[in-house]
Amino acid sequence: MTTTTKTAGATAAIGGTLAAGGVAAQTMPPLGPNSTAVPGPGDYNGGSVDFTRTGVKGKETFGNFGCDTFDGNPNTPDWTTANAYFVRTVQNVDITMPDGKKIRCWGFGDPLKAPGRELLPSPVIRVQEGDLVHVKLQSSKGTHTIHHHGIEPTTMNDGVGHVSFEVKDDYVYQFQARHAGTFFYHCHKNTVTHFEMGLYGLLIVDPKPENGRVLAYAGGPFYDVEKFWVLDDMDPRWHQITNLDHDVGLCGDDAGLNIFEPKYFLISGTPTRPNVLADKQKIVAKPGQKILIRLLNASYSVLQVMFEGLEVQVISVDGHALNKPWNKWLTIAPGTPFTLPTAQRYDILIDTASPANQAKTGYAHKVHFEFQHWVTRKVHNAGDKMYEGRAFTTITI
Amino acid sequence: MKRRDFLKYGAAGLATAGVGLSPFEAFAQALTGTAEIKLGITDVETRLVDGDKVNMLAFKLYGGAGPLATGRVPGPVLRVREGSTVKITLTNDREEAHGFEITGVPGTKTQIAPGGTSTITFTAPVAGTYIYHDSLGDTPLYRILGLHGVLVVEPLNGVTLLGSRTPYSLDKLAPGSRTAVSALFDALGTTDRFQGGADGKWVPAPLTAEASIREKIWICSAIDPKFNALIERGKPIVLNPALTTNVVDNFVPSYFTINNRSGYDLHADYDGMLPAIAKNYIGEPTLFRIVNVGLAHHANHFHGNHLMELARVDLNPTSSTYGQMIVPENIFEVDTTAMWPMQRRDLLLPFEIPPDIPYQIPVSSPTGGQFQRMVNKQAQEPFPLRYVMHCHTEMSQTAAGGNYPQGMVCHWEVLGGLGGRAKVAG
Repeated sequence: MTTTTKTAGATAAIGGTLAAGGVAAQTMPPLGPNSTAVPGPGDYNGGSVDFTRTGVKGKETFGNFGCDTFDGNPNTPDWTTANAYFVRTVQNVDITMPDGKKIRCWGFGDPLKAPGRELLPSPVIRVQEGDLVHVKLQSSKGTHTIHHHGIEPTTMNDGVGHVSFEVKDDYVYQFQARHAGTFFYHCHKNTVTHFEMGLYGLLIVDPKPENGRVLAYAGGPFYDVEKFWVLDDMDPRWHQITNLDHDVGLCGDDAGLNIFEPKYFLISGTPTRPNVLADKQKIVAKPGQKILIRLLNASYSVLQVMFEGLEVQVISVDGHALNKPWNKWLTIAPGTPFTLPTAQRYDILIDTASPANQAKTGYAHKVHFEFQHWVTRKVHNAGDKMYEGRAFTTITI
Repeated sequence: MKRRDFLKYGAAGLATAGVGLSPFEAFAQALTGTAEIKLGITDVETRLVDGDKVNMLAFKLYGGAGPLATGRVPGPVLRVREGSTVKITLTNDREEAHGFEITGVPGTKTQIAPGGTSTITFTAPVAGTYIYHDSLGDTPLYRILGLHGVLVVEPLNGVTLLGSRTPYSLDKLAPGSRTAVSALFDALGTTDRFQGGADGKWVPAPLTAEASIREKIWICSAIDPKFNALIERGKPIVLNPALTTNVVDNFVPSYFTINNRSGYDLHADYDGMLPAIAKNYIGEPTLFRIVNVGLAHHANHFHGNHLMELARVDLNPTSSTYGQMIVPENIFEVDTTAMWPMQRRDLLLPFEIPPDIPYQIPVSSPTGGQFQRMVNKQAQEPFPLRYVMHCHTEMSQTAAGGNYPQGMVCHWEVLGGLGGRAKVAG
């Protein structure tokens, strides 16, 4: 594959499927009502693949394990026509923190559906169960990858450099979404720094609509209000050194990346101090409604969460619904703290009409987050008004 | 200077470690009825992934082979049957006192004088995964310096009503847990998702083996070399109260290990080492017994398959079941599991077909799936499919302050489709 743009025309020639913009590929499954994709097929990326130039058949050595990792722009093996298509670019984004400092972050851009949209977290990849998904990564600032976390495709489409390759210019990741639930995607190159820089976003798989309604999962509950809470913490030193050197710490460089001292704490991309809540952080629901919170710990801390006043139910963990013969919904009583490790997702349902919650209307219930140090479990910068690792948001019924 | 010169090290040199008979031949016969195990406490040197070397403390196994005979971190995996009498004799080659304890097993705590011997006898507790370690003075110091290992207790009655083997004594579980464990292990081999018939069932490791095809032990830890520098071989540990009175607050780990290896040194298994990598076919469910003897809070993330969280220890000090092993009635399927310090978890990797490999091709009018095409050799991408497991608290992915991903990363492999092992064996 070369870096020249592959046109949809090539798709028609090789794949035999009509491209978007022509007579639509009518036989393709339609996108779901909440999808953030554009209809496939997008750019063609099939053809021969030299696996010896990747971790798949290349000999693994100490040298290419992390330092001189396989990179390139291979064709997508076993390419097949997708009905859901995404493009992701790599962008700078500066976040103004509560102390007035601007912190350089990186985010994935979505030039097709959300050009210029805010990038932290990066635009949601939202598809429907059964969608054949292509995500085209266009790298810049050096190599990157996308790992669709919790999505389980082949090795070549899993985005881990040392067992496959890092993307120099572009690559089309291919998978077919099986489980409805909450996932995320992030760069897996020098992950320690690139994930910290903000190269991540949610990935949501909806079930096919039932009676015109999109449920949390097939046969699962309906929800009236949906909210994404993505918790992150940032160490400004890490952002500074990574912005200066895309490859910081690689190849024998001691960049102090075993030491993480976050100063800023964010809920869904917005700093949490002073505690003036952004609309995207707050939940406002009417009595009787059901609320679905998609909660992700994208920080490098032990995240402690506590819902004041409301009984909540965990209905899905890491994108797998709690509806198997060996599991069930987990009810968490009001005021009970629980913890999430980095990268875990809980889908949390709040039924405002439940016996425990129906008398709780008319209040703004606080939800508390504590970011605890990964060794000592102490709250970061405890007592410091500006930098303390605590945050809250509210649920108003 | 960057550390490129360390390229000349790496795992090749490790392959020369001892080979031969199973290190367990020595006490294999003793493991029914009464198990007698003789362990020693001694010095070893560990070469880290970047070539630096540190001193560590290690358990050795009398009658063992290879590195186990001279001392290995982690210590030998001990397997006993629930309810059996276990006698462990400990000798201490070093010049200071050491301790021994199996967390969660009463009557196992003891102390061994310098150059001395101590013996404990106890009844093997309820089936599960346990940590033995040196907890002398209630400090984690000796544990993080290498004195740690895993004891596996096999169930007396681990078989479900439908005949599926499990790692737990079903008659000792609460009814809800028994139902959940049975439902899962009965599903193996018998559903569209978990195929394979009788061969698709989980199989426990033999009592005489540290690990097996379907059962791996992962012991997570971390190393802060300034603590290892307190060890001088053949001499008492140089205690530095400024460091050692509060180990946790002074612990700044810079190497992150599974079975005392990290990064490239975990890319393959070698004789004499505690194996870590599962290389199986679809329909060969594999149990991972994962413990964290270190001091960092890890978030172990598996690519490729979700795992079922079978058992854990309740580490919440305010809980009524604090310190107890919990086999839940609610078995989550996760891609990331919390491995807090001294956590012990059993997780089942189902070795199901990675679910998001395109399964309806073409999507417009499906006639097949990619995985079957791989099995039929009609696909471009070959076996094995290699997936990583790494801690997502990414500081642990470093070595010596950088060198991503030379930290706590391992991998597992799908060698082929259902029944592939039998086909290869002919």
